[in-house]
Amino acid sequence: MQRKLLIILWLALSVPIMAIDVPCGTWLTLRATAVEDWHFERWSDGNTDSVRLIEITSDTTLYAHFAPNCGDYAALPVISLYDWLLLLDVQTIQAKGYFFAEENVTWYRVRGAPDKIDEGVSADDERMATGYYLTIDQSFQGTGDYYAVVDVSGSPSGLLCTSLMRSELVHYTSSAAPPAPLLEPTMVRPSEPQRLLHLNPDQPTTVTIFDMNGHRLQTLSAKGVERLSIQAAPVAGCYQVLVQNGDQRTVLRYIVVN
Amino acid sequence: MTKKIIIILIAFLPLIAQAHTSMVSIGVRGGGQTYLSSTTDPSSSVQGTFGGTGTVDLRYTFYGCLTDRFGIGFTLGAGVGYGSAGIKGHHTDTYTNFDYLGNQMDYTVSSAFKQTDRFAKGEATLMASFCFGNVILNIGPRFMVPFSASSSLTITDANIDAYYPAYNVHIVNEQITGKLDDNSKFKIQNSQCAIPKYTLLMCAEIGYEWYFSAKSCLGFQLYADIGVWNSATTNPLTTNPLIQVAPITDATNPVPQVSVGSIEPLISSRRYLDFGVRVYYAFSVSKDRGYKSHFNSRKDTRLHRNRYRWD
Repeated sequence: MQRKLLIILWLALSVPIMAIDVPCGTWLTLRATAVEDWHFERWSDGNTDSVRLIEITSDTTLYAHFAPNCGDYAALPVISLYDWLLLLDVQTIQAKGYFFAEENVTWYRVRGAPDKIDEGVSADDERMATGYYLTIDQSFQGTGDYYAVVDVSGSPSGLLCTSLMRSELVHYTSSAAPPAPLLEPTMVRPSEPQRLLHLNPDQPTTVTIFDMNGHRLQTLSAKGVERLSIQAAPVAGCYQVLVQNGDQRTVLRYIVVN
Repeated sequence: MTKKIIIILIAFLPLIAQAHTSMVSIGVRGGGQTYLSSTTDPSSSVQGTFGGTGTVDLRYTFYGCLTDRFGIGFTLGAGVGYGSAGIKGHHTDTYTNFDYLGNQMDYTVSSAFKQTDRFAKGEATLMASFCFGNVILNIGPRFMVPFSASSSLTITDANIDAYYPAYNVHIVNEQITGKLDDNSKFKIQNSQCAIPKYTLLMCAEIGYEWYFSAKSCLGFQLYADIGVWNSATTNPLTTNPLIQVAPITDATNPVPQVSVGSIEPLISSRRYLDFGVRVYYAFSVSKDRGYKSHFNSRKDTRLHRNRYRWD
Protein backbone atom coordinates (compact mmCIF):
# COMPACT_ATOMS: atom_id res chain seq x y z
CA MET A 1 0.00 0.00 0.00
CA GLN A 2 1.27 3.42 -0.95
CA ARG A 3 2.09 5.55 2.06
CA LYS A 4 0.86 9.06 2.28
CA LEU A 5 2.20 12.02 4.20
CA LEU A 6 0.01 14.10 6.44
CA ILE A 7 1.45 17.38 7.55
CA ILE A 8 -0.38 19.27 10.27
CA LEU A 9 0.57 22.74 11.35
CA TRP A 10 -0.63 24.56 14.42
CA LEU A 11 -0.65 28.24 13.79
CA ALA A 12 -0.25 29.43 17.29
CA LEU A 13 2.59 31.34 18.83
CA SER A 14 5.15 28.58 18.45
CA VAL A 15 3.73 27.24 15.12
CA PRO A 16 4.44 23.55 15.70
CA ILE A 17 4.52 21.28 12.71
CA MET A 18 3.71 17.61 12.78
CA ALA A 19 4.26 15.23 9.88
CA ILE A 20 2.90 11.69 9.88
CA ASP A 21 3.54 9.02 7.30
CA VAL A 22 0.54 6.72 7.14
CA PRO A 23 -0.79 4.07 4.74
CA CYS A 24 -3.20 5.28 2.09
CA GLY A 25 -6.79 4.92 3.21
CA THR A 26 -5.98 5.32 6.88
CA TRP A 27 -8.61 7.02 9.02
CA LEU A 28 -7.19 9.48 11.49
CA THR A 29 -8.70 11.54 14.30
CA LEU A 30 -7.34 15.08 14.38
CA ARG A 31 -7.67 17.08 17.59
CA ALA A 32 -6.81 20.80 17.64
CA THR A 33 -6.16 21.84 21.22
CA ALA A 34 -5.37 25.46 21.98
CA VAL A 35 -2.88 26.58 24.54
CA GLU A 36 -4.12 28.74 27.40
CA ASP A 37 -5.65 32.06 26.35
CA TRP A 38 -5.93 30.91 22.77
CA HIS A 39 -8.81 29.17 21.05
CA PHE A 40 -9.25 27.07 17.94
CA GLU A 41 -10.93 28.83 15.04
CA ARG A 42 -10.90 26.52 11.98
CA TRP A 43 -8.93 24.17 9.81
CA SER A 44 -7.39 25.35 6.58
CA ASP A 45 -10.04 23.44 4.60
CA GLY A 46 -12.75 25.44 6.34
CA ASN A 47 -13.80 22.78 8.81
CA THR A 48 -14.48 24.26 12.23
CA ASP A 49 -14.57 21.05 14.28
CA SER A 50 -11.63 20.98 16.63
CA VAL A 51 -11.89 17.20 16.63
CA ARG A 52 -12.42 15.58 13.27
CA LEU A 53 -12.02 12.25 11.49
CA ILE A 54 -10.33 12.19 8.09
CA GLU A 55 -9.34 9.50 5.63
CA ILE A 56 -5.87 9.91 4.13
CA THR A 57 -6.07 9.16 0.41
CA SER A 58 -3.30 11.44 -0.82
CA ASP A 59 -0.54 13.67 0.50
CA THR A 60 -2.39 16.16 2.64
CA THR A 61 -1.45 19.36 4.43
CA LEU A 62 -3.78 20.88 7.00
CA TYR A 63 -3.38 24.00 9.06
CA ALA A 64 -5.15 24.56 12.33
CA HIS A 65 -5.92 28.22 12.87
CA PHE A 66 -5.94 29.54 16.42
CA ALA A 67 -6.72 33.00 17.73
CA PRO A 68 -5.90 34.63 21.02
CA ASN A 69 -8.56 34.97 23.69
CA CYS A 70 -7.81 38.63 23.78
CA GLY A 71 -11.27 39.48 24.99
CA ASP A 72 -10.31 38.88 28.58
CA TYR A 73 -7.16 40.90 28.15
CA ALA A 74 -8.61 43.79 26.29
CA ALA A 75 -9.25 46.15 29.21
CA LEU A 76 -11.12 48.59 27.03
CA PRO A 77 -10.98 52.03 28.61
CA VAL A 78 -13.85 53.02 30.88
CA ILE A 79 -14.34 56.53 32.25
CA SER A 80 -15.84 56.84 35.72
CA LEU A 81 -17.52 60.18 36.35
CA TYR A 82 -18.82 61.55 39.63
CA ASP A 83 -18.97 57.96 41.01
CA TRP A 84 -22.37 57.85 39.26
CA LEU A 85 -21.58 57.21 35.65
CA LEU A 86 -19.43 54.68 33.81
CA LEU A 87 -18.70 55.52 30.18
CA LEU A 88 -17.02 53.33 27.67
CA ASP A 89 -14.45 55.55 25.97
CA VAL A 90 -15.97 54.98 22.57
CA GLN A 91 -13.91 57.72 21.01
CA THR A 92 -10.61 56.07 21.95
CA ILE A 93 -11.74 52.57 21.09
CA GLN A 94 -13.06 53.57 17.70
CA ALA A 95 -9.88 55.48 17.00
CA LYS A 96 -8.09 52.14 17.34
CA GLY A 97 -10.25 50.66 14.59
CA TYR A 98 -12.90 48.86 16.64
CA PHE A 99 -16.52 49.61 15.83
CA PHE A 100 -19.65 48.54 17.62
CA ALA A 101 -23.14 49.76 18.33
CA GLU A 102 -24.72 50.48 21.70
CA GLU A 103 -26.51 47.16 21.69
CA ASN A 104 -23.13 45.44 21.39
CA VAL A 105 -22.07 46.64 24.84
CA THR A 106 -23.24 44.79 27.95
CA TRP A 107 -22.41 45.85 31.48
CA TYR A 108 -21.89 43.43 34.33
CA ARG A 109 -21.49 43.62 38.08
CA VAL A 110 -18.94 41.18 39.42
CA ARG A 111 -20.06 38.36 41.65
CA GLY A 112 -17.08 36.73 43.25
CA ALA A 113 -14.36 36.87 40.63
CA PRO A 114 -14.95 38.34 37.17
CA ASP A 115 -16.13 35.69 34.75
CA LYS A 116 -13.98 34.76 31.80
CA ILE A 117 -15.60 35.72 28.54
CA ASP A 118 -13.62 33.57 26.18
CA GLU A 119 -16.67 31.38 25.78
CA GLY A 120 -18.76 34.45 25.02
CA VAL A 121 -21.02 34.01 28.00
CA SER A 122 -20.86 35.47 31.45
CA ALA A 123 -21.35 32.73 34.03
CA ASP A 124 -22.56 34.30 37.24
CA ASP A 125 -21.74 37.98 36.99
CA GLU A 126 -24.88 40.12 37.13
CA ARG A 127 -25.97 41.55 33.82
CA MET A 128 -26.78 45.22 34.42
CA ALA A 129 -27.59 47.04 31.20
CA THR A 130 -26.83 47.47 27.54
CA GLY A 131 -25.33 50.62 26.06
CA TYR A 132 -22.29 52.80 25.97
CA TYR A 133 -22.75 53.82 29.60
CA LEU A 134 -23.96 52.50 32.93
CA THR A 135 -25.66 54.39 35.73
CA ILE A 136 -27.74 53.03 38.58
CA ASP A 137 -29.35 56.30 39.69
CA GLN A 138 -27.16 56.40 42.76
CA SER A 139 -23.50 56.52 43.59
CA PHE A 140 -21.59 53.38 42.67
CA GLN A 141 -19.59 53.60 45.86
CA GLY A 142 -19.89 50.40 47.83
CA THR A 143 -22.08 48.67 45.24
CA GLY A 144 -19.54 46.36 43.61
CA ASP A 145 -17.12 46.09 40.74
CA TYR A 146 -18.19 46.62 37.16
CA TYR A 147 -17.03 45.92 33.65
CA ALA A 148 -18.41 45.88 30.14
CA VAL A 149 -18.19 43.26 27.43
CA VAL A 150 -18.14 44.58 23.89
CA ASP A 151 -18.90 42.61 20.76
CA VAL A 152 -16.55 44.04 18.14
CA SER A 153 -17.30 41.42 15.51
CA GLY A 154 -18.48 44.17 13.20
CA SER A 155 -15.02 45.67 13.11
CA PRO A 156 -12.74 45.36 10.09
CA SER A 157 -10.76 42.16 9.84
CA GLY A 158 -7.09 42.18 10.61
CA LEU A 159 -7.47 43.60 14.09
CA LEU A 160 -6.12 41.84 17.11
CA CYS A 161 -9.59 40.98 18.38
CA THR A 162 -12.77 40.73 16.38
CA SER A 163 -15.09 39.03 18.82
CA LEU A 164 -15.85 39.86 22.44
CA MET A 165 -13.65 42.25 24.35
CA ARG A 166 -13.75 43.08 28.03
CA SER A 167 -13.42 46.54 29.46
CA GLU A 168 -11.21 47.35 32.36
CA LEU A 169 -12.64 46.54 35.76
CA VAL A 170 -13.95 49.48 37.77
CA HIS A 171 -13.80 48.99 41.52
CA TYR A 172 -16.57 50.28 43.74
CA THR A 173 -16.67 47.41 46.15
CA SER A 174 -16.09 49.39 49.30
CA SER A 175 -15.87 53.10 49.75
CA ALA A 176 -13.77 52.57 52.87
CA ALA A 177 -11.17 50.45 51.14
CA PRO A 178 -8.17 52.18 49.58
CA PRO A 179 -8.41 52.50 45.81
CA ALA A 180 -7.09 49.54 43.90
CA PRO A 181 -4.06 49.95 41.64
CA LEU A 182 -5.09 51.37 38.32
CA LEU A 183 -3.39 51.22 34.93
CA GLU A 184 -4.12 53.88 32.35
CA PRO A 185 -4.48 53.95 29.51
CA THR A 186 -5.31 50.34 28.87
CA MET A 187 -5.69 50.45 25.10
CA VAL A 188 -2.43 51.73 23.68
CA ARG A 189 -0.15 51.89 20.70
CA PRO A 190 3.14 49.95 20.79
CA SER A 191 5.57 51.40 23.34
CA GLU A 192 3.09 54.08 24.42
CA PRO A 193 3.68 55.38 27.97
CA GLN A 194 1.32 54.19 30.68
CA ARG A 195 0.75 55.13 34.31
CA LEU A 196 0.25 52.81 37.21
CA LEU A 197 -1.74 54.68 39.87
CA HIS A 198 -3.03 54.18 43.42
CA LEU A 199 0.04 52.36 44.71
CA ASN A 200 0.56 52.23 48.44
CA PRO A 201 3.79 54.16 49.05
CA ASP A 202 4.25 52.48 52.43
CA GLN A 203 4.68 49.10 50.79
CA PRO A 204 7.26 47.90 48.27
CA THR A 205 5.82 47.48 44.80
CA THR A 206 6.76 44.86 42.26
CA VAL A 207 5.32 45.05 38.79
CA THR A 208 5.64 42.11 36.44
CA ILE A 209 4.43 42.20 32.86
CA PHE A 210 3.46 39.02 31.02
CA ASP A 211 2.38 38.33 27.49
CA MET A 212 -0.63 36.15 26.72
CA ASN A 213 1.41 32.99 26.89
CA GLY A 214 2.59 33.74 30.37
CA HIS A 215 6.06 34.71 29.30
CA ARG A 216 7.50 37.28 31.65
CA LEU A 217 8.51 40.36 29.68
CA GLN A 218 9.54 42.84 32.32
CA THR A 219 9.83 43.27 36.08
CA LEU A 220 9.92 46.61 37.87
CA SER A 221 10.40 47.33 41.55
CA ALA A 222 9.72 50.53 43.44
CA LYS A 223 9.16 51.76 46.97
CA GLY A 224 7.65 54.92 48.40
CA VAL A 225 5.76 55.83 45.26
CA GLU A 226 2.06 56.27 44.57
CA ARG A 227 2.42 56.05 40.82
CA LEU A 228 4.75 54.42 38.39
CA SER A 229 5.38 55.04 34.72
CA ILE A 230 5.73 52.02 32.49
CA GLN A 231 5.97 51.56 28.78
CA ALA A 232 3.61 49.41 26.80
CA ALA A 233 4.97 46.39 24.97
CA PRO A 234 6.35 47.13 21.49
CA VAL A 235 4.28 44.45 19.79
CA ALA A 236 0.52 44.32 19.29
CA GLY A 237 -1.11 41.89 21.66
CA CYS A 238 -2.68 41.48 25.03
CA TYR A 239 -0.66 41.76 28.23
CA GLN A 240 -1.04 41.15 31.93
CA VAL A 241 0.42 43.42 34.57
CA LEU A 242 0.82 41.76 37.95
CA VAL A 243 1.10 44.39 40.69
CA GLN A 244 2.37 43.15 44.03
CA ASN A 245 1.94 46.04 46.45
CA GLY A 246 2.75 44.74 49.92
CA ASP A 247 0.25 41.96 50.53
CA GLN A 248 -2.06 43.27 47.85
CA ARG A 249 -1.87 41.42 44.57
CA THR A 250 -3.68 42.85 41.57
CA VAL A 251 -3.78 41.65 38.00
CA LEU A 252 -4.28 44.38 35.42
CA ARG A 253 -4.50 44.01 31.68
CA TYR A 254 -3.86 46.11 28.66
CA ILE A 255 -4.01 45.72 24.92
CA VAL A 256 -1.56 47.01 22.35
CA VAL A 257 -3.00 47.70 18.91
CA ASN A 258 -1.22 48.92 15.85
CA MET B 1 -61.38 114.88 4.28
CA THR B 2 -64.33 113.33 2.46
CA LYS B 3 -63.88 110.13 4.42
CA LYS B 4 -63.96 112.01 7.69
CA ILE B 5 -67.18 113.75 6.73
CA ILE B 6 -68.77 110.43 5.77
CA ILE B 7 -67.72 108.90 9.08
CA ILE B 8 -69.13 111.84 11.02
CA LEU B 9 -72.37 111.67 9.08
CA ILE B 10 -72.68 107.96 9.79
CA ALA B 11 -71.97 108.56 13.46
CA PHE B 12 -74.68 111.17 13.73
CA LEU B 13 -77.20 109.38 11.56
CA PRO B 14 -79.06 107.90 14.52
CA LEU B 15 -79.41 111.31 16.12
CA ILE B 16 -80.84 112.91 13.02
CA ALA B 17 -83.18 110.04 12.36
CA GLN B 18 -86.81 110.88 12.87
CA ALA B 19 -87.48 107.89 15.14
CA HIS B 20 -85.20 106.25 17.58
CA THR B 21 -85.32 103.73 20.31
CA SER B 22 -83.22 102.53 23.26
CA MET B 23 -82.84 98.99 24.43
CA VAL B 24 -81.16 97.40 27.42
CA SER B 25 -80.13 93.78 27.22
CA ILE B 26 -78.82 91.22 29.67
CA GLY B 27 -77.00 88.37 28.03
CA VAL B 28 -74.78 85.40 28.49
CA ARG B 29 -72.03 84.42 26.10
CA GLY B 30 -70.48 81.06 25.81
CA GLY B 31 -67.96 79.58 23.44
CA GLY B 32 -64.32 78.92 22.98
CA GLN B 33 -61.19 80.98 23.08
CA THR B 34 -57.65 80.49 21.99
CA TYR B 35 -54.52 82.28 20.87
CA LEU B 36 -53.51 82.77 17.29
CA SER B 37 -49.82 82.21 17.74
CA SER B 38 -46.67 81.70 15.77
CA THR B 39 -42.94 81.49 16.30
CA THR B 40 -39.89 82.50 14.32
CA ASP B 41 -37.70 80.07 16.25
CA PRO B 42 -36.77 77.34 13.75
CA SER B 43 -36.42 74.81 16.55
CA SER B 44 -39.96 75.40 17.80
CA SER B 45 -43.50 74.92 16.71
CA VAL B 46 -46.49 76.47 18.45
CA GLN B 47 -50.22 76.51 18.01
CA GLY B 48 -53.12 77.68 20.08
CA THR B 49 -55.30 75.32 22.08
CA PHE B 50 -58.96 75.93 22.69
CA GLY B 51 -60.55 76.48 26.05
CA GLY B 52 -64.03 77.40 27.12
CA THR B 53 -65.23 80.85 28.00
CA GLY B 54 -68.36 82.25 29.53
CA THR B 55 -69.44 85.86 30.07
CA VAL B 56 -72.43 87.73 31.40
CA ASP B 57 -72.98 91.21 30.09
CA LEU B 58 -75.22 94.19 30.29
CA ARG B 59 -75.73 96.45 27.28
CA TYR B 60 -77.41 99.60 26.24
CA THR B 61 -78.29 100.00 22.56
CA PHE B 62 -79.51 103.13 20.83
CA TYR B 63 -81.01 102.92 17.36
CA GLY B 64 -82.01 105.60 14.99
CA CYS B 65 -84.59 104.22 12.60
CA LEU B 66 -83.78 105.41 9.11
CA THR B 67 -86.34 103.42 7.20
CA ASP B 68 -89.13 101.10 8.10
CA ARG B 69 -86.71 98.21 8.23
CA PHE B 70 -83.28 99.70 8.74
CA GLY B 71 -81.87 101.18 11.90
CA ILE B 72 -78.42 102.30 12.85
CA GLY B 73 -77.00 103.06 16.25
CA PHE B 74 -74.50 102.09 18.81
CA THR B 75 -74.13 99.67 21.67
CA LEU B 76 -72.40 100.26 24.97
CA GLY B 77 -71.79 97.27 27.14
CA ALA B 78 -69.90 95.82 30.04
CA GLY B 79 -69.38 92.25 31.06
CA VAL B 80 -67.48 89.89 33.25
CA GLY B 81 -66.46 86.37 32.48
CA TYR B 82 -64.05 83.53 32.89
CA GLY B 83 -62.26 81.23 30.53
CA SER B 84 -59.13 79.48 29.51
CA ALA B 85 -56.91 79.34 26.47
CA GLY B 86 -53.52 77.95 25.78
CA ILE B 87 -50.62 77.25 23.51
CA LYS B 88 -49.01 73.95 22.77
CA GLY B 89 -46.01 73.06 20.72
CA HIS B 90 -42.62 71.42 20.53
CA HIS B 91 -39.22 72.86 21.19
CA THR B 92 -35.58 71.83 21.02
CA ASP B 93 -32.74 73.55 22.85
CA THR B 94 -29.03 72.99 22.40
CA TYR B 95 -26.41 74.29 24.80
CA THR B 96 -23.12 73.27 26.38
CA ASN B 97 -22.27 72.72 30.04
CA PHE B 98 -18.96 71.91 31.69
CA ASP B 99 -18.84 69.74 34.77
CA TYR B 100 -16.49 70.34 37.69
CA LEU B 101 -13.99 67.94 36.11
CA GLY B 102 -13.87 70.05 32.97
CA ASN B 103 -15.78 67.62 30.80
CA GLN B 104 -17.73 69.24 28.01
CA MET B 105 -21.36 68.16 27.85
CA ASP B 106 -23.35 69.13 24.78
CA TYR B 107 -27.03 69.10 25.64
CA THR B 108 -29.86 68.60 23.18
CA VAL B 109 -33.12 68.95 25.03
CA SER B 110 -36.44 68.54 23.31
CA SER B 111 -39.97 68.34 24.62
CA ALA B 112 -43.58 68.92 23.85
CA PHE B 113 -45.33 71.50 25.96
CA LYS B 114 -48.76 72.83 26.66
CA GLN B 115 -49.40 76.03 28.54
CA THR B 116 -52.89 76.77 29.75
CA ASP B 117 -53.95 80.24 30.87
CA ARG B 118 -57.04 80.62 33.02
CA PHE B 119 -58.32 84.07 33.76
CA ALA B 120 -61.35 86.09 34.68
CA LYS B 121 -61.99 89.08 32.51
CA GLY B 122 -63.82 92.32 32.60
CA GLU B 123 -64.76 93.97 29.36
CA ALA B 124 -66.20 97.14 27.99
CA THR B 125 -67.74 97.32 24.54
CA LEU B 126 -68.57 100.10 22.16
CA MET B 127 -69.94 98.90 18.87
CA ALA B 128 -71.76 100.25 15.88
CA SER B 129 -75.13 98.54 15.66
CA PHE B 130 -77.28 97.88 12.66
CA CYS B 131 -80.68 96.30 12.46
CA PHE B 132 -82.27 94.97 9.32
CA GLY B 133 -85.70 93.95 10.42
CA ASN B 134 -85.04 91.46 13.16
CA VAL B 135 -81.48 90.79 12.12
CA ILE B 136 -78.92 92.55 14.30
CA LEU B 137 -75.34 93.28 13.34
CA ASN B 138 -72.81 94.76 15.76
CA ILE B 139 -69.23 95.66 14.91
CA GLY B 140 -66.71 97.50 17.01
CA PRO B 141 -63.96 97.43 19.58
CA ARG B 142 -64.00 95.65 22.90
CA PHE B 143 -61.59 96.47 25.67
CA MET B 144 -60.76 93.42 27.79
CA VAL B 145 -59.03 93.40 31.14
CA PRO B 146 -57.97 89.92 32.34
CA PHE B 147 -57.63 89.45 36.10
CA SER B 148 -57.13 86.61 38.58
CA ALA B 149 -54.99 84.92 35.96
CA SER B 150 -53.12 81.70 36.49
CA SER B 151 -51.07 79.63 34.09
CA SER B 152 -49.71 76.14 34.13
CA LEU B 153 -47.18 74.50 31.87
CA THR B 154 -47.13 70.78 31.18
CA ILE B 155 -44.02 69.20 29.71
CA THR B 156 -44.35 65.88 27.93
CA ASP B 157 -41.94 63.67 26.02
CA ALA B 158 -38.96 65.48 27.49
CA ASN B 159 -35.75 64.10 26.05
CA ILE B 160 -32.52 65.26 27.68
CA ASP B 161 -29.49 64.11 25.72
CA ALA B 162 -26.11 64.89 27.24
CA TYR B 163 -23.30 64.20 24.83
CA TYR B 164 -19.70 63.81 25.97
CA PRO B 165 -17.73 64.55 22.80
CA ALA B 166 -14.46 63.50 24.42
CA TYR B 167 -15.78 59.97 24.76
CA ASN B 168 -18.39 60.01 21.95
CA VAL B 169 -21.14 58.89 24.28
CA HIS B 170 -24.71 60.17 24.57
CA ILE B 171 -26.39 59.92 27.97
CA VAL B 172 -30.14 60.14 27.53
CA ASN B 173 -32.69 60.84 30.25
CA GLU B 174 -30.58 59.79 33.19
CA GLN B 175 -30.68 61.32 36.61
CA ILE B 176 -26.97 62.04 36.66
CA THR B 177 -27.11 64.16 33.51
CA GLY B 178 -30.66 65.47 33.84
CA LYS B 179 -34.05 63.88 33.67
CA LEU B 180 -37.59 65.15 33.68
CA ASP B 181 -40.56 62.98 34.48
CA ASP B 182 -43.17 62.71 31.80
CA ASN B 183 -46.21 64.93 32.15
CA SER B 184 -44.39 67.23 34.53
CA LYS B 185 -46.68 70.09 35.41
CA PHE B 186 -45.42 73.47 36.51
CA LYS B 187 -47.27 76.46 37.83
CA ILE B 188 -46.17 79.58 36.04
CA GLN B 189 -45.10 82.36 38.33
CA ASN B 190 -46.93 85.61 37.91
CA SER B 191 -43.71 87.26 36.83
CA GLN B 192 -43.50 84.84 33.91
CA CYS B 193 -47.18 84.95 33.09
CA ALA B 194 -47.61 86.57 29.72
CA ILE B 195 -51.31 87.28 29.91
CA PRO B 196 -51.45 90.99 29.14
CA LYS B 197 -52.94 93.40 31.68
CA TYR B 198 -55.35 94.63 29.03
CA THR B 199 -56.02 94.10 25.39
CA LEU B 200 -58.13 95.55 22.64
CA LEU B 201 -60.33 93.30 20.57
CA MET B 202 -62.25 93.85 17.41
CA CYS B 203 -65.57 92.08 17.67
CA ALA B 204 -68.42 91.29 15.36
CA GLU B 205 -71.84 89.91 16.19
CA ILE B 206 -74.73 88.87 14.05
CA GLY B 207 -78.01 87.67 15.42
CA TYR B 208 -81.76 87.55 15.37
CA GLU B 209 -84.38 88.89 17.79
CA TRP B 210 -87.73 87.40 18.60
CA TYR B 211 -90.17 89.95 19.99
CA PHE B 212 -92.70 88.42 22.28
CA SER B 213 -94.18 91.68 23.59
CA ALA B 214 -94.16 95.30 22.68
CA LYS B 215 -91.24 96.05 24.93
CA SER B 216 -89.12 92.95 25.14
CA CYS B 217 -87.45 90.38 23.02
CA LEU B 218 -85.13 87.42 23.14
CA GLY B 219 -82.02 87.50 21.02
CA PHE B 220 -79.53 85.00 19.74
CA GLN B 221 -76.18 86.00 18.28
CA LEU B 222 -73.05 84.50 16.91
CA TYR B 223 -69.96 86.45 17.83
CA ALA B 224 -66.23 86.49 17.30
CA ASP B 225 -63.50 88.62 18.86
CA ILE B 226 -59.94 88.92 17.68
CA GLY B 227 -57.09 90.74 19.37
CA VAL B 228 -55.85 93.87 17.69
CA TRP B 229 -52.47 93.79 19.39
CA ASN B 230 -49.76 91.19 19.28
CA SER B 231 -49.36 90.33 22.94
CA ALA B 232 -46.14 88.36 22.54
CA THR B 233 -43.61 89.93 24.84
CA THR B 234 -40.24 88.44 24.13
CA ASN B 235 -37.86 88.40 21.25
CA PRO B 236 -37.34 84.76 20.28
CA LEU B 237 -33.76 85.53 19.34
CA THR B 238 -32.95 86.11 23.01
CA THR B 239 -34.51 82.86 24.10
CA ASN B 240 -33.46 81.02 27.21
CA PRO B 241 -33.68 77.24 27.27
CA LEU B 242 -37.13 75.97 28.06
CA ILE B 243 -35.61 73.06 29.97
CA GLN B 244 -32.35 74.10 31.60
CA VAL B 245 -29.99 71.52 33.06
CA ALA B 246 -27.60 73.12 35.51
CA PRO B 247 -23.91 72.27 35.20
CA ILE B 248 -22.61 69.54 37.51
CA THR B 249 -20.57 71.53 39.97
CA ASP B 250 -20.74 69.67 43.28
CA ALA B 251 -18.75 66.47 43.63
CA THR B 252 -20.65 65.51 46.77
CA ASN B 253 -24.02 65.99 45.11
CA PRO B 254 -23.45 65.63 41.39
CA VAL B 255 -27.07 65.25 40.29
CA PRO B 256 -27.82 68.39 38.26
CA GLN B 257 -30.88 70.48 38.83
CA VAL B 258 -33.36 70.57 35.96
CA SER B 259 -35.52 73.65 35.74
CA VAL B 260 -38.27 74.60 33.37
CA GLY B 261 -38.58 78.15 32.13
CA SER B 262 -41.22 79.93 30.18
CA ILE B 263 -42.47 79.33 26.67
CA GLU B 264 -42.95 83.05 26.17
CA PRO B 265 -39.52 83.59 24.59
CA LEU B 266 -40.50 81.10 21.90
CA ILE B 267 -43.60 82.97 20.82
CA SER B 268 -43.22 85.77 18.35
CA SER B 269 -46.90 86.43 17.78
CA ARG B 270 -49.92 85.91 19.98
CA ARG B 271 -53.41 87.27 19.42
CA TYR B 272 -56.46 86.51 21.46
CA LEU B 273 -59.42 84.95 19.67
CA ASP B 274 -62.78 83.93 21.01
CA PHE B 275 -66.07 83.04 19.44
CA GLY B 276 -69.39 81.55 20.39
CA VAL B 277 -73.01 82.42 20.91
CA ARG B 278 -74.76 85.09 22.93
CA VAL B 279 -78.28 84.71 24.21
CA TYR B 280 -79.90 87.75 25.70
CA TYR B 281 -83.06 89.28 26.91
CA ALA B 282 -83.67 92.85 25.78
CA PHE B 283 -86.26 95.36 26.79
CA SER B 284 -87.07 98.88 25.76
CA VAL B 285 -86.19 101.84 27.91
CA SER B 286 -87.60 104.43 25.43
CA LYS B 287 -90.30 106.77 26.65
CA ASP B 288 -91.38 108.29 23.38
CA ARG B 289 -93.52 106.75 20.71
CA GLY B 290 -90.55 106.23 18.53
CA TYR B 291 -89.74 102.99 20.23
CA LYS B 292 -93.20 101.66 19.83
CA SER B 293 -93.28 102.65 16.26
CA HIS B 294 -89.99 101.05 15.76
CA PHE B 295 -91.06 97.90 17.53
CA ASN B 296 -94.30 97.80 15.66
CA SER B 297 -92.43 98.45 12.51
CA ARG B 298 -90.14 95.52 13.19
CA LYS B 299 -92.93 93.28 14.34
CA ASP B 300 -94.99 94.33 11.37
CA THR B 301 -92.09 93.89 9.09
CA ARG B 302 -91.67 90.40 10.38
CA LEU B 303 -95.33 89.53 10.09
CA HIS B 304 -96.63 91.81 7.34
CA ARG B 305 -93.70 92.80 5.31
CA ASN B 306 -93.72 96.33 3.89
CA ARG B 307 -97.21 97.10 5.08
CA TYR B 308 -96.16 99.40 7.90
CA ARG B 309 -94.65 102.82 7.49
CA TRP B 310 -92.82 104.91 10.03
CA ASP B 311 -94.81 107.78 11.51
